[in-house]
Amino acid sequence: MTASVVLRERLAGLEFPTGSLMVPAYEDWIARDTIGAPPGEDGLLHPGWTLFGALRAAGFDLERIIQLCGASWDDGVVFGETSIEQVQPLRVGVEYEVNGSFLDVQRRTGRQIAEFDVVTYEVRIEHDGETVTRCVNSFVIPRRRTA
Amino acid sequence: MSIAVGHEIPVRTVTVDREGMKPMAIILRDPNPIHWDQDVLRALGLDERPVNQGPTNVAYLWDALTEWTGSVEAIKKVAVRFVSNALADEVLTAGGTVESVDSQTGEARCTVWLNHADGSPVLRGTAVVRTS
Repeated sequence: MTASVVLRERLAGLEFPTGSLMVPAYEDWIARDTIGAPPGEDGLLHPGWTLFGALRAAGFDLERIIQLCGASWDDGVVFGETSIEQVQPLRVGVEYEVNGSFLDVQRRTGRQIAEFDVVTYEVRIEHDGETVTRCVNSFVIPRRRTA
Repeated sequence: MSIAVGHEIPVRTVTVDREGMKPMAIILRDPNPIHWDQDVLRALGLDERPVNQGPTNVAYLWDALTEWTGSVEAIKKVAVRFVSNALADEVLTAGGTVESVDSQTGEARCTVWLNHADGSPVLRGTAVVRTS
């Protein structure tokens, strides 16, 4: 079995521990200042929190996700894609539950990086058992550089 | 909001905030030093300007869509591919085009983009917004 098949068998379907997200108003203010965004609609977080929250509040943080893939930042891991579904806007001060799981690992070849894995996972930000936002993220993990 | 296929989403221009990457690293719990440590950037042979966090780039697109639709609640979906890095102090533009409108649901499907000043891509993707 190839390394990527072993990794896929190990990760695909693996559930993240449940995390939690609560963003106070001051933190949303700081995020908006950084982004250059205008003040928000009453009680609503900046929509960027759909992804910020998925990254920071998932039960596995970025470091752990990359570690589980047998890699580190030094390998040149980069974001591949994100697909964000907003069922409802996220709100200031609300306590959300954050659940997720690995979906897939695909070994690919390319021109700039000879061999790399694309690791895909899903994170759902939930309230009262209902999905409020859903992110599917993929990271590119270089395995062999072009000579 | 009345829109038709081919409608251009008004372009939003933003400058990447060099110092903003530091609080954003904390907000994201993102430990990657390419966002704040010039010694690491030099050691990696990269441009000495810190690399903006990808989620911040996506947030610029959300702002362009929110400004256009008039409400965060109107935006149902944003999906993008990260094509290249945006660096500190760069001027970026975000925009898009309406590709189709569902007359029954009132949903518009759009292509969206975030570009460097020379027009090359930072992000490429799609969005779905409610127009009624």
